[in-house]
Amino acid sequence: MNEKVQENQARINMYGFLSRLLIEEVDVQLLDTIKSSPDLLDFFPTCKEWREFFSKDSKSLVEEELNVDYTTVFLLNVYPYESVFMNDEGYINPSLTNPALQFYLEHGYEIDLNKTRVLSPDHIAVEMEFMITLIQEQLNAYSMFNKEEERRYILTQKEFLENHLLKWSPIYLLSAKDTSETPFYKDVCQTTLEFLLSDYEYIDTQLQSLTV
Amino acid sequence: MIKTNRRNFLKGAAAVIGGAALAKGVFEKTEADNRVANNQELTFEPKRLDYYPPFEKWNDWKEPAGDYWKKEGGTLRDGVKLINYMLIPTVCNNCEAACGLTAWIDKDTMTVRKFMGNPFHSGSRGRNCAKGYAALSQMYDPDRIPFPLKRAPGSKRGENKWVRTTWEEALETIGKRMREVLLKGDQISKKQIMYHVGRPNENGFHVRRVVHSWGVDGRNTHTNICSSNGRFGNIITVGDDRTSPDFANSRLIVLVSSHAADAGHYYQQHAGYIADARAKGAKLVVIDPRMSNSAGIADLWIPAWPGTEGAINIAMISRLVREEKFNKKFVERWFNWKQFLSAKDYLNYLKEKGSLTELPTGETFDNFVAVLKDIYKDYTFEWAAQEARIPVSMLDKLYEMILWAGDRITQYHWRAVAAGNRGGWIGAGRTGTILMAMMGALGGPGGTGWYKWHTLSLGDKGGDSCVAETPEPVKAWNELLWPPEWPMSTYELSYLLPHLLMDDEWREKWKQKGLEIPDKVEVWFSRIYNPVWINPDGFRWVEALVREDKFGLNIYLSPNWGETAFYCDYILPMGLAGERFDQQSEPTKPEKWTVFRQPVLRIALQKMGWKPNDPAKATLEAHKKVGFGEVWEEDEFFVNLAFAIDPDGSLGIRKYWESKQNPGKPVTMEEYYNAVFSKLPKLSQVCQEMGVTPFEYMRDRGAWTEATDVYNIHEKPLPYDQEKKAYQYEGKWIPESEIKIEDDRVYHVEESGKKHKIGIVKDGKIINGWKTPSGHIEFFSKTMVDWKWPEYAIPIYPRNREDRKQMIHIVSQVHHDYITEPNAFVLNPIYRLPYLVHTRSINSKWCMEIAQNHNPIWIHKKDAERLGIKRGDPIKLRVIDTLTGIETGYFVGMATPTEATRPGVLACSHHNGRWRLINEVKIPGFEHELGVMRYGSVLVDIKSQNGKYFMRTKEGIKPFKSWQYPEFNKDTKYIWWKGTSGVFQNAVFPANPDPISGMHCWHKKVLVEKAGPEDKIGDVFVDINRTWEVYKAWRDQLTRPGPGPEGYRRPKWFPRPWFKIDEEYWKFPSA
Repeated sequence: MNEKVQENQARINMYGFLSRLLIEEVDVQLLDTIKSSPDLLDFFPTCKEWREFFSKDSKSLVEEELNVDYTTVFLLNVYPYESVFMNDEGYINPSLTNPALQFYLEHGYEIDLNKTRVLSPDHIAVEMEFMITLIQEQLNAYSMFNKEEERRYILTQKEFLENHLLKWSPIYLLSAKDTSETPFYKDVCQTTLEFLLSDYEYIDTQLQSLTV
Repeated sequence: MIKTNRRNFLKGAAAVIGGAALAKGVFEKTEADNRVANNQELTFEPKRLDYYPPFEKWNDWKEPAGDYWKKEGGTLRDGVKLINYMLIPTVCNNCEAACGLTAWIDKDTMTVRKFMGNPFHSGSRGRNCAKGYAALSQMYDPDRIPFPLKRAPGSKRGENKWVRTTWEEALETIGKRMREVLLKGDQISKKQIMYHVGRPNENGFHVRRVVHSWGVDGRNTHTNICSSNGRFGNIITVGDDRTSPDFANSRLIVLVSSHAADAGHYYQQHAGYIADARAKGAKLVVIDPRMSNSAGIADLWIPAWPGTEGAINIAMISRLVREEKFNKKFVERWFNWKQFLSAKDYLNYLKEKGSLTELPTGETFDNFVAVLKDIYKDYTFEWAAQEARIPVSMLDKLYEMILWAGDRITQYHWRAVAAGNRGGWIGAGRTGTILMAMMGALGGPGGTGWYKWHTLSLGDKGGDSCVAETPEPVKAWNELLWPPEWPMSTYELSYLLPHLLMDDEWREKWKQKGLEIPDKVEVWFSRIYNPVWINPDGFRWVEALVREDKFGLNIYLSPNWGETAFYCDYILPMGLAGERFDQQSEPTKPEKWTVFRQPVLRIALQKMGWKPNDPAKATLEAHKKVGFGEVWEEDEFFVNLAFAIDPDGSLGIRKYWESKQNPGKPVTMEEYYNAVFSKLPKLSQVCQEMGVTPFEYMRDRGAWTEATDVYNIHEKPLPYDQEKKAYQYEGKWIPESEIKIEDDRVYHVEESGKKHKIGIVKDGKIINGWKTPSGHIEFFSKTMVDWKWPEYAIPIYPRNREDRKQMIHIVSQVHHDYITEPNAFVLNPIYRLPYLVHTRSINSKWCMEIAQNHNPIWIHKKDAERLGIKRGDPIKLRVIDTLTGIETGYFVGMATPTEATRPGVLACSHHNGRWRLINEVKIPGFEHELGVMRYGSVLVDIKSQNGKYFMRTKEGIKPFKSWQYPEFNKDTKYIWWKGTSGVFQNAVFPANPDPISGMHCWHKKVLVEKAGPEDKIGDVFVDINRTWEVYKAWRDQLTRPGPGPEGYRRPKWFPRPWFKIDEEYWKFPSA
């Protein structure tokens, strides 16, 4: 696997991982995976210093700490939906007029929200999942030696980040980080924020290499 | 805080094996744009709907016969007979959309077996509606007129005694008569030859070049019964007359009393684009008192009271301004606000009138916004809801959608809002276009473009194949078409022709002012136009048409019978969709496409090596050769007629139709249309590369798209040539030295001193701008002020009853102020049915069959309950004019209580309700009788006395055996339907010309009664003395006649379709 494929595969993994953490509560299995992987733990620097993170058994940690925090932050207080942050009125817009949904549809993708429990297609995790879809398309084009298509999909990622995900998620993640009480979710927010910003830079690098 | 960078992330993430698998997988890729080019191999079971034979096999394509398929299909494939097809492209001729067709010609029998779509047509994309496929039933119509007919010598018009004649005799007689008229050479004679066309479905051959070459001001159209109000508001706002919405890329589609998603303009093309947009999440809003099929599938149906649509638009404008949520960048750049703010007199006028509270303190854009806020402050949603009689919540929803859609809003206001109401132009193009402009939704992707941006008018451009290219400007101004009472009328006041001809007092009045108005039309051509049936006051037409002192020679050019044919002297059978040449282009999407209608049997014969004896009559010869009948087409007919009018060339007409290649001979269609299509640079280039002529390309493929993604033409710079030091404008190079800039407007100043605006200066560049005098979107129309209508110079709507009295010219004649009696209703007669187009579908047995029982009188359930009316009851509708209070007559129809029309509004489409005077015509010496509209009309009896007409159905529709195309028509013996489920309602409607645009205002106030024991469904009574009084009241009480400034008959910048009139005749003689 060459470097380009590896890196983009890693982007997919990163989006998938963070999307999973944001879309619903963490489960024991996932938590154990994180705990046992030093590489993954690097994404949770505050947790590393949180004693209970290692001392409490995973089940209790999930049920007594993490799920409580997830519910408080993501379900009750800081709604992770673009429409909430981008509309003057601040309500969730689950209808066809949702701009993120428009973007998906206009670029040839349909969405089935029944597979999740999110209320609207502009949930931060769904938007991140859309990035995965686009990166996969980009890799397909690359494997077919179709530079034009590859470039087109990278441009679409850039456009989506600029017009949607990055337009609102930084402020959202900062608010969520502030609201969260566990180091775990503070880390999730911070890592997601930094990853998104760095990924935007990476997209630019890829575009430049294609232009050259 | 973690210290990290991209590499860390990606390195770390690499460890998250299967991170993607953690995602929920909510996304699914949808099918990309369908491409008809795919799947082009022969298959008995096409898997895709857009399956089509590959082009290289069009001349020889084999496919199993339908009957054989039924008998021998399935596993017994060896027994299937294959038909040897040749596919010749052509264009549907039923509505104006010009969808592509291919005629599938059975080469063994030289008959057309079926019509399918044309995949090369980028507008219709290989698809058709029911009427397109029904073209076959029209072609082999059992009641088709098989040869030219002439009124029997000694008989009177209307007696229906006919003899068979020849095309040669018809050409000679008509040509001689026209020659006699033209030889007089005086002003009157230039107004006595008239070509009167319905929907022309061609772009310039007849409507421009033919009539122009005669040197007469005699082109007449149907536009004033169709779309003049739709056009007028747009013309004064942006200088173009018809919106061309980019539906497919739109986010919000607003159909204002229009039903483009099911049966409106442009039928299946627009419906397809609307469906595409909705698949991408666009919203559809339909404002219509009737729940059309479009309204039925809409996200929001707003059943506004007819004629109040403008109130909704203006309330939206008001709130956008109040909340400053409009597109300031676009408005500042494109509105003529500077001109408005500098018109101090006008601002004072607005203040005196009470429209403006404070005069602006300066002339900045902010001042303009302040003025807007002031002018529109009273137009709240609560006010609009009360005016349109709808809940406020509907307006809130619409507003939200408008904000959401931004600059991707499309609006179509082509039908009832415009055509139904006095002042309909306010609710349509004036406030509607300004509303879109406020959002910046004019011109860009997903927004609304314009007719002239997207249409290729080429039909008259074949002049270089003839000895003389372009006729001189006509030296006459025909007041029968452009009466002085309506100096700003959008098109000819066509439906008033009998009124004007029969009104001695009116002619005398204008004669006193120096106008020369004829009291008779010497030669009158009616082409695909049936004024007796489709125009208001139909019996007035009958009275005029039968008078030989008013109409000298009446020629009906049509493939089939129609009510008007009964009152003509010649009936000349012309070709249908696959039997005639036409260049056509329509604004159905942001592209420039053109299509080529062709006589397919002729083309097939020619491809197989056949040669006509007379190349200028090849279509007629081909039709005779294959046993199709003596059916000709207008193009060749008019070319030959020019030679009959002007055999020696002395009248200067022949040269415009004489072949340059073969001087002395008429130009052939191959020569002419090759010259036409050579005008397209890209097509010409492609043809050069392919080694074919443009004619051959179009003959073989039938469609060409010259430009795609045609957006924002107003922003495009005028092409400049460094070497020539000239700018290009409308195809001509204008030297820099002849260009003058005044403020930001750019003019071409001719040697004579005449100047024409060609663009405007923006950002230091000369760009197109808009086709208005200011080059901007005219929020403020100085033209309206100059032509005595200052109160309507800005988009405005009466706020209250007092305003409505003052502004009666823009108050619908069916406003709820007028609907006061308990049994008073508004009747909406003007909506389309998906399977009918006015007079064009009576010759399709397939369309007529599905038309049955689909057109009763819709009445809201509660209203019906209140009046004790049940489903199927005959009800009598008494037609009342609201200006005069005159009752003109009544008709009786069948009631259907429904919730699909709003309370207070009835609906009954006038596309149905055809009638005939006779069942068959006996032609001396011909073995068969010619059937007359036997399966789509009812036989009636008409009684008249002193202008009172009473019509009653004598006999419905019966099965019959057809002698014509017997194999195709063997099913006519099974005809099961009895009537046409419609009434001849147009006859009871008086002519109601809009005082400004001239549009006939179709909606009517009616009083509803249960029919009495003597009444029968289909009864029509009208007193044309009363319709006359109504017409005169509308003319005399409401219009503000010309001349205008400097003695002009109409604003000089307004188009005078379609050819040039000499400058001298633009003015009143006294000026």
